[in-house]
Amino acid sequence: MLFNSIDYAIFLPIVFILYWFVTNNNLKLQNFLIVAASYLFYGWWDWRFLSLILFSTIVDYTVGRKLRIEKNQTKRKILLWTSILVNLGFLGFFKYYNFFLDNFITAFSFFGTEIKANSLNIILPVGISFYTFQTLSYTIDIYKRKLEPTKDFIAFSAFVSFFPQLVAGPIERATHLLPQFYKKRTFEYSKAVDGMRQILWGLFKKIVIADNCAEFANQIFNNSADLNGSTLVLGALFFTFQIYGDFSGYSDIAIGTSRLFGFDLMRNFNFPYFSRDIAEFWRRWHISLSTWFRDYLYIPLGGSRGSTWMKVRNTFAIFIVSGFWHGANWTFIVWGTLNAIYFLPLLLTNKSRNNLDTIAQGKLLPSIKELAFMLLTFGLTVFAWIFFRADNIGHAISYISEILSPSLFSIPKFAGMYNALITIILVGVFVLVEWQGREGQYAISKLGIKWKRPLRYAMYYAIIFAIFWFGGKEQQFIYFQF
Amino acid sequence: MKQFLSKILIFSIPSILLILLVIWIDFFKIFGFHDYYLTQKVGINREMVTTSTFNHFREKEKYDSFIFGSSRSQAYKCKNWMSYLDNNSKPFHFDASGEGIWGITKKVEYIDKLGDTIKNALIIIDRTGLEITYPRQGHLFVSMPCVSKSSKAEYYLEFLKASLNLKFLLAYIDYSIFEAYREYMGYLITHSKFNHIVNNRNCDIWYGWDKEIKTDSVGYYSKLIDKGIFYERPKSEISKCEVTTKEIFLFNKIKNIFTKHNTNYKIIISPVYDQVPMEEEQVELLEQIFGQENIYNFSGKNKFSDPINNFYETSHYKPFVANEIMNIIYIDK
Repeated sequence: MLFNSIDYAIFLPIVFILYWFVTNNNLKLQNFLIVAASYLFYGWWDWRFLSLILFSTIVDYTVGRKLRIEKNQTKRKILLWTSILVNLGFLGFFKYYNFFLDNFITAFSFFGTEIKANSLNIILPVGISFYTFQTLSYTIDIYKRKLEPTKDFIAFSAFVSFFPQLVAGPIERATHLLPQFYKKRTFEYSKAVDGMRQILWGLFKKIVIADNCAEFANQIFNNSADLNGSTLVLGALFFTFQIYGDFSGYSDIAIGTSRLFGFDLMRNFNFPYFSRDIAEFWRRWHISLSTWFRDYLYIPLGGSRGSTWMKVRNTFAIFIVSGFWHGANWTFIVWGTLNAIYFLPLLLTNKSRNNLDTIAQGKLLPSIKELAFMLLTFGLTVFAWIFFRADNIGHAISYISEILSPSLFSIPKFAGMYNALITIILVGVFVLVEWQGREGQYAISKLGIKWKRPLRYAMYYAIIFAIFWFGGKEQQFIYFQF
Repeated sequence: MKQFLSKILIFSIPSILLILLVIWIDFFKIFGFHDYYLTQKVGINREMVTTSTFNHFREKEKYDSFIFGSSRSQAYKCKNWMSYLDNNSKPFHFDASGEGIWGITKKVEYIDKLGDTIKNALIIIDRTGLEITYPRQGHLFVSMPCVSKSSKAEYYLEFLKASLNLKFLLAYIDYSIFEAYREYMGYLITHSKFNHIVNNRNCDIWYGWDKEIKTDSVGYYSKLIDKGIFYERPKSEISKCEVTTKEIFLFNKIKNIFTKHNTNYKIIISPVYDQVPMEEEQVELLEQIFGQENIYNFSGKNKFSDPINNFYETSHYKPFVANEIMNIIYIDK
């Protein structure tokens, strides 16, 4: 079920009413309802893959229970690796099997050995990269004795399958989300209203910004061989706002929905395009994944301790793995590597934690220096997104080559220029709203709070009508494919 | 909680009123069964018209012969087709705007699921239609849920969106007040000095353009040439219409149902003004699935696609062309 579908618009109020009115605030019943609703939500897409979630839940619940009583370190390690192998095994098979197979065949044929193997027609289960990482955090934290395993299977199932964040995150840590399933939840008016506002803003980001930008990004990337350099720059910019609107919009809807049910999810985006360097960008982009890799990969590898060589190795490891997590394609690996290269100067000069505050905090405009660094970081990010969006490395290289040609200085030209202009204006307005709200949890978290009710409602209606009138053609959420 | 729900309710009242108003006006005649073209000034979903008509009269009329295709198929009239069928056949024109093979498959499946008979079938396709292997969006193209088996809510939402479209509202109000068609109204408002004549039992349409051409044929064609509608052929850039697995899947579905019904069917590849021939792979695929004897390819440059006066504009050819084609496929061959 998609957040931006009419099905979800019907599903959400029904679950909300059942949750607060029918369960009579009984915690067990509420958790059970969450599991049932989550399975329905996921099964709406393809019920067959519910078995994967259920299996993953049973394995991690059992491993967690056994880890608690097991004293023998070797056996504990075996249990941990069981969980890792099951979860990463699923991920490896469904997501990377064909990639590795194709690359092995190519590698062997390079040395003159022909291998005959057929790639499989595998459907990637939606959200597998997200829920496997979430359940892994549970077993790893128990193994490290940071978390007590749960005895409540329903609560654990609800934690694994919690529908607002099941298919595209934020990837929650068990230490943060699981305890919320044990606590009695009471309805909080302010939390629910805030959740509704965040859902509304998330829908605007997805339907108005991302879906409109997607139309032109797709058109330009799919026909890049016939277009001039300036148009390709525009295509990269469209994709830059598409992916941000799409993914952060999804996260906003997920967080907002959770608040309606009395849950707090971790923040996933913090106005990343206003970053002044790449380190800041990565503290603000897909925060739940970056911190996951930091806690479960970067720090175990030694983090920023040790020799310079170790620091560089760990940095590249985390960025490359993060790139590969996004998909079985060399383009993602190059994208990750490129970000590691961007990060390197900051690491080597110990400046990676220079910009921990918000840009131009308490001010209307940034300083010239801040603006210059912000634009530089934005430019580097846009360049890296070309690899992320391209079909393959060759496509990315030819795309960049055309940008770097004299045609960069010609006038952009592609079908639907007039509609693109409307989208550019919408993106401009969007950036302004984001800028004014950059110190809040999301762009409109404080906007209009002190206004009189009719004015505030008028603002909400303006957003709703913008969704209706300027909404792009429905597109899948990009991160579903990861 | 009470405070929250009451606020939600207060906030929703204007939206609810607006939705009720849209339902009451019913711009696109989606609720109930209507005499669709009587006073129609708004462009409506053709598939909704044919499906609703079919649903409304099927038990009484007992249709057993069907013409499937896009608006191009309107060149083939049930009345003319009847002369090649058994006397007791009951033909119905089950077309849709911009119909593709997805829509045709769904309609064939729908008739089959209802338990009705498909004794004869005439499928009119072209290169564009072969590429439409998915459900389409937009209020003029979205399929009725009974045919598409998709969400009813999504279906009505398409019309709600279209009803609240600013450009549409402006055109509707403008036309309602001044009754004058302006260029910006495009397909949103249907306007012609010469109305179409519609058979509301079998869904045949006789276009009003025939009357216009009869009145002043030189003026009619000169106007379209001046506007650049009749462009110079051949077109410089033509993308290839590749065979897809989805297409094969849909063709096989149609074929299986035809086999089940022992249907006497013919598939016509339309003559199109652009004179682009259907790809050989596509023709071979059709012949392979449906049998060579049932495929009639009139695409490319030929006596049907060449003369400009065989067409109303670049999309639609005239009934006399269709009659000649039917003669070829039912008698000459």
